[in-house]
Amino acid sequence: MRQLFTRRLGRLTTIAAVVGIGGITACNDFLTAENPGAIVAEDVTDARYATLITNGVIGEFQPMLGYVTWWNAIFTDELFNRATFFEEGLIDRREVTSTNGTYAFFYYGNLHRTRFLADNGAERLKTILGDSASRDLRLARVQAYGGMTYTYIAEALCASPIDVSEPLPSAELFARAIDRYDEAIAVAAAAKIQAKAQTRIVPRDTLAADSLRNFALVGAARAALNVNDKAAAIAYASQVPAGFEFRAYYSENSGRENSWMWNRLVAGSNGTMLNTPFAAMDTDPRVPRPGGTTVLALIPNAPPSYSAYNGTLVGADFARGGWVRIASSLEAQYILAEARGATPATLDFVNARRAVGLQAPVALTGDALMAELRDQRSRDFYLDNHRLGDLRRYKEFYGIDLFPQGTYPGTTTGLTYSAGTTCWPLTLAEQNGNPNAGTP
Amino acid sequence: MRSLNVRQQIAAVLAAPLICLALAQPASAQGTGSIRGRVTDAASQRPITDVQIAVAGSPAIAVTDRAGQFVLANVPAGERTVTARRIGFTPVTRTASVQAGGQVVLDLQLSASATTLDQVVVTGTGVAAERRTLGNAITTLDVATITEKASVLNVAEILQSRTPGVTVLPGSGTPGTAGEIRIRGASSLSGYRPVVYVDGIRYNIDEIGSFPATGNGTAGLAQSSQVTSALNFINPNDIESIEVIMGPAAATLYGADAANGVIQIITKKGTRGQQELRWTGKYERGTAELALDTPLNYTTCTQARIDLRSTAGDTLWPGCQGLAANTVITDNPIQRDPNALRTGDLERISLSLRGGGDQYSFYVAGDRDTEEGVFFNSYNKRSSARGNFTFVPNDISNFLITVNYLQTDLRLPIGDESPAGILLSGVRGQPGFLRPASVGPGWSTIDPARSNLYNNRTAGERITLGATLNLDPFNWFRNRLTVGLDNTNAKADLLFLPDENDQTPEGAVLQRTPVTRVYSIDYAGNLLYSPTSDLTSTTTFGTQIISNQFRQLSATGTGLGAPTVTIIGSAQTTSGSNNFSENNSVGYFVQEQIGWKNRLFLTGAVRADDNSSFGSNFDVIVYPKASLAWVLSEEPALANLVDAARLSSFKLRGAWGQAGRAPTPYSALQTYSISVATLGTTTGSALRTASFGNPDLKPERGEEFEIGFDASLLADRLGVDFTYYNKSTRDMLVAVGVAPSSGFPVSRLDNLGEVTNRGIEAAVSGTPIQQPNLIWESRVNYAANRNELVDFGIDGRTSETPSGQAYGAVQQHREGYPLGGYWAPLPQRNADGTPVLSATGAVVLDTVASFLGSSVPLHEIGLSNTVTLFENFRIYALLDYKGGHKLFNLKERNRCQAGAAENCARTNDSRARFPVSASDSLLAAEIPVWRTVPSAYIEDATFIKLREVSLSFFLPQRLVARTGASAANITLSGRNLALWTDYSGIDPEVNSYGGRLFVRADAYALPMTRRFSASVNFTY
Repeated sequence: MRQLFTRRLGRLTTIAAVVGIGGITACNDFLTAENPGAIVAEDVTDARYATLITNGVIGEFQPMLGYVTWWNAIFTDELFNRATFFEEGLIDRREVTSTNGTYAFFYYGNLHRTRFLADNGAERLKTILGDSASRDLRLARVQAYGGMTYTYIAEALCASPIDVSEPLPSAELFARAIDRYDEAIAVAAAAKIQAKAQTRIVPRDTLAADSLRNFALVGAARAALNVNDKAAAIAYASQVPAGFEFRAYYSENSGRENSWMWNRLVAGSNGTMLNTPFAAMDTDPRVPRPGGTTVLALIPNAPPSYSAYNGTLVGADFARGGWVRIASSLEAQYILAEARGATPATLDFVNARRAVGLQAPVALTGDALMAELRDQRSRDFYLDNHRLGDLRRYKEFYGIDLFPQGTYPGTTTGLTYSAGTTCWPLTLAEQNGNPNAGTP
Repeated sequence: MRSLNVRQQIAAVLAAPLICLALAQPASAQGTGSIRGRVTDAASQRPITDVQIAVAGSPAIAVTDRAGQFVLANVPAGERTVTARRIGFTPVTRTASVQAGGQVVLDLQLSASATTLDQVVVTGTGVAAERRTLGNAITTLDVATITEKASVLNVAEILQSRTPGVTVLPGSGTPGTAGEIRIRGASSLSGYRPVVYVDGIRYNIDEIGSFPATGNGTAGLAQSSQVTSALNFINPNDIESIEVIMGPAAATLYGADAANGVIQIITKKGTRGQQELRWTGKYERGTAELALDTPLNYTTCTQARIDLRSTAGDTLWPGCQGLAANTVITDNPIQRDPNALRTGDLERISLSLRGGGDQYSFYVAGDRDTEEGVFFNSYNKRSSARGNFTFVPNDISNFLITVNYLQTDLRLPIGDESPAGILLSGVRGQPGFLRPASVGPGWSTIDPARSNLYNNRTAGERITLGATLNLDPFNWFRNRLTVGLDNTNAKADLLFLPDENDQTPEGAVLQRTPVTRVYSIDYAGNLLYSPTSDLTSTTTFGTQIISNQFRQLSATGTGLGAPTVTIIGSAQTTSGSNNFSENNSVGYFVQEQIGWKNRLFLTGAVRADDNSSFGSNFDVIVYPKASLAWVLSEEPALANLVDAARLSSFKLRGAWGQAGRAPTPYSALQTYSISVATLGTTTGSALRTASFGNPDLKPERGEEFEIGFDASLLADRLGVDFTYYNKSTRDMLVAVGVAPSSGFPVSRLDNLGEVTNRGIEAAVSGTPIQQPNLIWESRVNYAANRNELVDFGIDGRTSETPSGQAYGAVQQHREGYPLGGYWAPLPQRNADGTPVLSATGAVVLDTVASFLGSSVPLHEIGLSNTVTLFENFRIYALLDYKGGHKLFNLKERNRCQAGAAENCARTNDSRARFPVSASDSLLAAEIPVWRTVPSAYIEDATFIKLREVSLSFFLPQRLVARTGASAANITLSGRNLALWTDYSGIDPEVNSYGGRLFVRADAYALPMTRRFSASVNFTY
């Protein structure tokens, strides 16, 4: 019996040894837990991810644009916010500090998330696509969106770290934006050449290449103008063909895909309305409002950059889906006009825009003409995230301060706008999490 | 990892006994005799059941029946050493001379032991360790006795007040909900839950997946007192004992998850040995009611209110009509409205069968519990079947297989801070004010009949399978292998019929089906060696592999159209999602214990762990431990001293050790998720940054030193256990903000900072009176804990608000203070002690917050007494004291701050708690200005509760015999019978934020209910 047991024990020991050795070799696999809800960063390395990376930048850009547009409009003179949320009131008066949670949650983080996805995506695409990246529209698209995101950061923030760096000044950020636009322009051009070289030309590919190139050209011109490099701005803007528009799209599918302007001005009831300068533009269909005698009269309807714009004074509600124009030949024309100054061509352009606004022609020259140009620009690009960059540029390079000043027209008396503030600070999370951020 | 499906797993477990059968040896019947006898309590002379009678050198084992009798057959002839053992009694050994074919009568007497050093406990090493060898404290609860004395419905109620160092903080009195369990204080910022093993199998104690019981519509609120736990998925009637391994000093061998302590649940099993089949049945019937007062609501019927009319000309204060101006009317709608509260029924049925022979034993049981809550839409039903089979094929191996199946049906009422909850609506009502039909007179937000429609149900199911093989091929080599599967799944439903709920008038149905599977494999081997007769060496080594998987499907349909169509697919809009997470760990340990003359034991051990949630730059964590146990009472040199002190035994012990707590799954990885991008008229999948990750992430490291003694005095009639511990947790898992410029959101986990817990635990148990007709047994536990956040480990951070706190940061984690302590600015005071008032009459507060107190008890006392009269009557009571802590009375703050604050108890109630000035008239003036000050609502929550009382009558044997039974008793028991406290809320034990670590506030949580029940127990 004992022998029988000893034999069995020997067999069990052998089995145990095999199981043990197998167990040790299988240990690494066992200790790599399945995670079907996410992709580990180091796995994003092959061609399956190229389109996903590109869509990632677009998908992040769209809601970010809505948030940034909304709070920049409140921060500037585009909107006046009657909402009772305390932090939104601070934004309205430009009393934004690093502790403002609304700003941190909606604005700052989303800007940087988009910027990171573009920068990181461009690097990954170059690795994944190899030599073909230089003529792949996906890289052009990522770089163009990345350039526009850098432009938004540079226009809005006083200074901003990139990838946990020390805060970079706006000029440096605009320069980085132009680098990305330049690469997008070059890649789009190469992609178009390649598309044309195909035995069977796909019109969609050549049109997409043109569209991305023009988007990047407008963006580069915008960035160049914001660093007062008018020659470069003219060089970029003059290449943009008439009739060009580049849009960001929304859909009714989910909250993330909905237009934020619809969310706040149609679905919500926060009582946000046209601020004083724009409330006064009450005959221009580019600044539509319902009209009437109640406070609802001044809640804006969809202006020209939005798909729901219908060219009437009353206008129409912002759409839950639809699109918003983010770059256009119209913007290129404005950049050219501002860069060239008070020329006869500028006067013609101004009067053409006044006609759209049901305004009579003017015969202005010099500073008065440039002031009118600025006024028309504010109407044509109402609520599409141009205003803050414009106001900062006017103040920095032309000495013209159009930021709201003096008594704040809110329900609480005795409050004033923050006179000197023209840009957004770093958030507390950035200060705490970035050893290079320094103390504000 | 490829996983077996459930059918394959069951087949594998069921096939395992065949291995043992192959090794079985036939029992010999040649040259044998038998021993029979009776075992009684030396003090009371009462028979003792379940005493195991073993014969040295023979497989023959017997078990005493309810009459204390046993028959031991097949005992080899000759002089035999017979040993009788039972937990709680000092073992007795006698010699019997057995003749071939003859029978020996051997009656034995056992003495109850207050502290028995020979008691066997589970330690994680795989061998039966005697208490004398342990350098650390282990609390053992005899649950079989507890459930016989008191009506306990879940594990938390078993642990409550009986285990020094274990703090049970219930959230609400709602059936099926669970409280927090903290062992020796909170030792981490990110979690303090202990790990639980049942018969050596890792046991899931996560929430069962119910929808939050504060949900309005489909959104729901995250906070709730009505938190559930899979720990409730075990019936106390199936538990034999519970061992609590308190902290890192003892839990090292449990590895990277055990820093918060380990709870070992040992279920009832058959006892191997010759015996008759024994049926046990228990039927319990009882009630639950809200016995504590709910506050009154007040209205002053001013002339303006009497005169107030709507535009249609109807009065808005119908309750004030006909009354003189300024008449004060009161109402207590919760007590008044018959639809608000009920007396819930309690019914429990339990049946078990146990038996065994020389080579096997078995135990099967079935239970059915139905517990109704005091709200009409509240109940918890639980049915379970449990079985285990032990097979001992030979003298070198035995095999245990356990199977447990449990089913629950839980319905949770809506409550806490939901306006659809009865308590919120009731305590914020305005007497006399016109309310719409959906609210009703006297209620604030909803009528109870409407609130009772809330239909939040969770059907749960649990299957636990386990197999343990003990193989001792040689006297010096012992092995134990346990494999187990714990599968918990639930189907949670939340249904709003159309027009039933104001927030979801179109109707909605929500479902989710969480499944948690825990696989565990545990092997331990022991090498025993005795180089000399005085010196012993026990080397233990082993491995533990645990895999924990969670998956869940969720679906929602909104817009049901008709009340009879509740299929999600038929709803106007539908959505669905699923999620999955997995955590795997492997641990190895080796321990060496040197014993000297069976009275001095020195133990050293090392455990190494790897875990799938560790960072890629971190490989293995190693935890060491060391302990010393010295049975001083057996030192010959101290014999005189021991005699003089009348010590029966005295063991000095000390232990130091480390254990950990692993990060949450995937937190070390930098990951992307998939989102969506709108591409013109279509959409596309899009990559999105998800988690920043931390490749250096490692587990927390808990380190603990404890020292204490176990003493038994006066011939084992008095036992004293004392422990001092000092526990610290370093490398805490702390959420650190990620710089948004990195492109990743929110935060990542990092190993930072330190928390300490220091305290003492003491238990004194004894039998002050031990006469045949009167036995008085008493036990008092005391525990004190000082918790301190020593360091965040982050430059510049000295405080933070606990995650999930609402209504102002009245709780803070601050360096130098307890985690989650209460903080608020105090009013500035004039020289006469009155508060400084501003020009507008507001109380002027300090600019900085002051520490007001701990949010959990600092001192806990449990006092239990059992008196047995004339062998037939037993009276038992348990008093529970918790003190030294505060509770935020958020409910009262809301009552005081809302509107005219007429309901403010401080205005109307004799229990007013505002700082009282010297002048009563000044007090009246202070009330309006005080009622907005947060510190006024952070109250002393010290209390004493008469937690349990029972009266048992054991039927005389002659009566029992007529029924064919061997024993029977009738027990009347009550729970939460009385409360003594200065807290002005309803119950200082509630917490409306049970789902959030550290956040504690009383906001419309259902107080603990009072239960009465009667039970009948029969044994055949």
